[in-house]
Amino acid sequence: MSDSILEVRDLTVTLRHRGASGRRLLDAIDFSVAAGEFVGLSGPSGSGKSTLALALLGLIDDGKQASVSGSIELNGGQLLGQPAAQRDGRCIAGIFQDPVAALNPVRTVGSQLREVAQRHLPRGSRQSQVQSALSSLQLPDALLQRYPFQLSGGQCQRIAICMAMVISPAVLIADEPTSALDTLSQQAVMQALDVLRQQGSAIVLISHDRRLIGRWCDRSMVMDAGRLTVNQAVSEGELPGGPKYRKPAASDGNSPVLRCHGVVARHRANGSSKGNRGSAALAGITFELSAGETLAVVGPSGCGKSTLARVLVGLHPASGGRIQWGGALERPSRRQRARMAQLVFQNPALSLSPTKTVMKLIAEPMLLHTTVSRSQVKDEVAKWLARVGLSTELFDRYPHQLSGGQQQRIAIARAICLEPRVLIADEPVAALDDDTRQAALRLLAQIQVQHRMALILISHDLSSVTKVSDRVLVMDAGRVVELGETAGVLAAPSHPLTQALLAADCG
Amino acid sequence: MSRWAAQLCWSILGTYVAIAVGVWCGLWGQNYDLAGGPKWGGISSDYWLGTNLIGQDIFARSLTSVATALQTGLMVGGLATMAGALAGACAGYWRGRWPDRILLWLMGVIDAIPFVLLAAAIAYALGAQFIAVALAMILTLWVPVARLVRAETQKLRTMPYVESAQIIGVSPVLIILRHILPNTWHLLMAQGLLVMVAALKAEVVLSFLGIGSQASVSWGVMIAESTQEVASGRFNNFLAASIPLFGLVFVLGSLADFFQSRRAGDSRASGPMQA
Amino acid sequence: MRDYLLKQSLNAVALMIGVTLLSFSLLVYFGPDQTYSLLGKNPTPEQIASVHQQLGYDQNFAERYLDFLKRMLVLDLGYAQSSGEAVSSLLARTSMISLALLLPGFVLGHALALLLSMLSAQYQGRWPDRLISMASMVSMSTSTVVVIIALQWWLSSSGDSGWFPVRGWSTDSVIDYLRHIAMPTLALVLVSVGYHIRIYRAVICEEMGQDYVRTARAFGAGPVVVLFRHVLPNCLLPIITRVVFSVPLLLVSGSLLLESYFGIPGIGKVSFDAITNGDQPVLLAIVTFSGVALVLVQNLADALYRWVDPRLRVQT
Repeated sequence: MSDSILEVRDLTVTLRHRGASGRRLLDAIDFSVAAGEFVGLSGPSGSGKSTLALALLGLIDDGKQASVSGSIELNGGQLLGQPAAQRDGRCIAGIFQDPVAALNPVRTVGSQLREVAQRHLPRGSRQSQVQSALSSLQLPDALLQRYPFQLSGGQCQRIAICMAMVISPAVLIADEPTSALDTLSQQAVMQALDVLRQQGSAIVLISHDRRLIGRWCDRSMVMDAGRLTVNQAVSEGELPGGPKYRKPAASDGNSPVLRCHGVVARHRANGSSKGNRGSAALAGITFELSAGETLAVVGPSGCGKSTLARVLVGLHPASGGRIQWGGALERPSRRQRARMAQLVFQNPALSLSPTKTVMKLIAEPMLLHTTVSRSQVKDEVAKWLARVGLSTELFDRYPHQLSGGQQQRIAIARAICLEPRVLIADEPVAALDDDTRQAALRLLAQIQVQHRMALILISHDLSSVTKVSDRVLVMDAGRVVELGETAGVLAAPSHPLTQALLAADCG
Repeated sequence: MSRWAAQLCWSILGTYVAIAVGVWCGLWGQNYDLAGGPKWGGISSDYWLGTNLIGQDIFARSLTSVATALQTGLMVGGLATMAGALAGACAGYWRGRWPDRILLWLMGVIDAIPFVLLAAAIAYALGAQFIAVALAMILTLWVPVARLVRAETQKLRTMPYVESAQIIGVSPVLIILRHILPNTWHLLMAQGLLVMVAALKAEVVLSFLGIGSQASVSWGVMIAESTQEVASGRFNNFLAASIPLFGLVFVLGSLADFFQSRRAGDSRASGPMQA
Repeated sequence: MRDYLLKQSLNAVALMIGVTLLSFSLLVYFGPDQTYSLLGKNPTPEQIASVHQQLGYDQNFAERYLDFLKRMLVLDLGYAQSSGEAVSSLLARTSMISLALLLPGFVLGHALALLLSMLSAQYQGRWPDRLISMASMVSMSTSTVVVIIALQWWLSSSGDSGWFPVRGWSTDSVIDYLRHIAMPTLALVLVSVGYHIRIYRAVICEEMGQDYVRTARAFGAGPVVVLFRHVLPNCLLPIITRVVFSVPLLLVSGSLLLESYFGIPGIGKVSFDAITNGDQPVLLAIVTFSGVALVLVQNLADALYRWVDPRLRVQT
């Protein structure tokens, strides 16, 4: 490519950390980026995507933790060996995953924007540049007086993009800018990045979400184990084909396993420092769930879908309404509730006690609830491990010695070994790679059929759950706005939110 | 802290323990009380570090003090850390409810009273014995441990693995014992060592105030004795007490640092590049 | 706001009840019988009975405690047993001396520690950091008593310049004052700076690893801007906690050793004498005094938190 502005040649990062010295995090990376190009970079976690971002930004402390070699040329000038602070900030800037934490919590958004302008722009043009950046991203001026904690994740990420727009860097590295956001904010952030691109900056989007890259980028690169394995233009035909929906499970005419009627819950009074104390998190939720059914619960972040899950398993008190288990039971004891509903969490690494072995983790619920003797427990654990597709070799491993996929399977085994009537999965695959993700979803569906459990799948992303669900429940601001059979809802969404979610999904 | 530095610390600590075990087994340091030598005797083959004002063997007294220090340190460190861990975990688990309120109030009250005065008051009420000193130390030193464990428990309380245990039906007491406290063990080790440090240093101050066990000898007692001697150029007592005291405290403090840094750079955390 | 004030005052009252209850039970109720030290040898039964009544020994715990609280409320702290001086005037006089003695070392110690820990955090893992951390560990490991004894020996043996007196106190002139506080200040800084550095360094290092620091660096901020405009404002909360809460404890415990070794008639010396003589009214007053100091400091810290951290100040 003749008009390339960023040329990376033979970029290698070698660890100097004791114990892992000599391991290559990046292995002879070669690529170039043209002016105004939108490049996507994907790959499994641990493949070196984020290390590449830090290396390009000059944030790897050369010599202390790792050594960096090769060449990074921007417009013909060598950047390697120049730490970030010695570079002209207008050449490469970066934004990152957790947008609220990425801004200084004790300073207003405006003061942080002005600081960047002060450093890189001449005195006269600062104010006007900040103004025009804000208006081109359609952010109101009032945001300038706010602190990051007063803004939503999507707003914070757009402020970070605004910061980049103020200095208009030649290249912006965006490392998983949307993976902490719900589908609708994701849409807004991607649009903001596109505006920046139209103003002349090249963008390198790092994401584990290949669909996102397929939709927005000109070119797609894939990394694996520190190497660049794919580098090709994105063709229109590469977009994933239309989703196939599952037929609703034949209703057996049984009474529902779970019946919620007008369930109300409030935000924790002593919870976060946010101002929504005591306000309603759930404002009257009504639905029924029959045995063996899969229900997808979808909605933007903050709509109350996680609170609903927490109320159902007893982690959060309901302040009104009725929840009936198996037709009659309204106030289950701790033990009864455990056998009614179990929850699988989003982040598998955090949902297993780090100081317990696999054996102890799976044995704990069984010893607590069933009459299995200690001598039989080993066989039982082996049985459940086999059901989630793991071997008994893992018995004595600790969670940190397992892969993300294995951790999630252990968490699932722990939840299903009590054979609950309802299994709830709160974004069960959001933290997993593309491939592991499919396998985990298949596993959940398979287990559900085997044990005739009802399954509630919670997600902010319509497409990731509707493939396996019988019915869809769409939530907004603590209310059910749409509930119906999956195919019907997707074919003819009646509520504007559902329509927006569908639109964001199809690009 | 590098691995070999930690090993060095462990072996120095091992030497102290060996000396103490020797004292407990009656191998050496038994005649610390015997006033058989000359007044302020110099270094000799009988008295390796000389004698003090009333002719006691300074070397024997310093050896016995190693045992006293470890006894005090282990007892105070162990009990205060255990009490602090339990109280902190309960307060953190039931944050904002009555166990937390009562414990916070109690911690506030103890923090409000200066340590020396509390020790003096307890010694005043119980009479100056070893138990009064140990009790005063435990009563004050569990507080910082409890505050840290409380903050840590609040963090762990919202971790999915603790909530997962709740959903499975594990009772609160078992959750604290099985899922919360075991995951604070780096913190507890570090705090236990720091409590020992605080106890050893407090002992010196209390001995200077004349509060403390009169029945035995400790580095604090020796330093208190040496206050007047140093001005007139006699350093045996002072150095024989303050050097081994410094060594022990330094080693314990370094090991506490080691545990704390192990916690920060946990193997569970992501790779070194993902800052 | 009204709820906030109400909550603060309830907390303060609860704390003071706890402090007075504990000190009263330990020092008065379970403390040694004062009768014989007041009466001397061979008292008559009538004398004993009258002293018992005077000291309230014939009443039950609740009555005596409430009586004690009443006297504390009207600042009737009684008289020191040794000198006979009113305890309130004794405390007022000596606490000013302690303040004058400790303030320079207090400010110097925190300032020096902040400076060194910033340096240490900036060069994390390299030699300046190792050197500073090592020095801080040495400082933490050294007993205050040992430092004072060593300093006094060094003073008395390094010639008779008489510039820095080994004992005594005088504020006749500024020079006099500085001469007398020099050595105690040095000792105070030496023993306290290690602990401060350890805490400040940990706080600063933790903040330096936060996401917003990475963002600032990715937008070209240099180390000075990162440290002063981004990291330090976020460190203020723990720093304020450390500074403010060390005040009341320093006033009594910190000055006790310094004042008794250097012969300075401050509140520490008064505490020392009261402890060694078992002077009950003085001990009670000092404990109550430090409880009040802690309540004041807690409220001060709370106000400062709101000032430095918008998350506690601004409504969403």
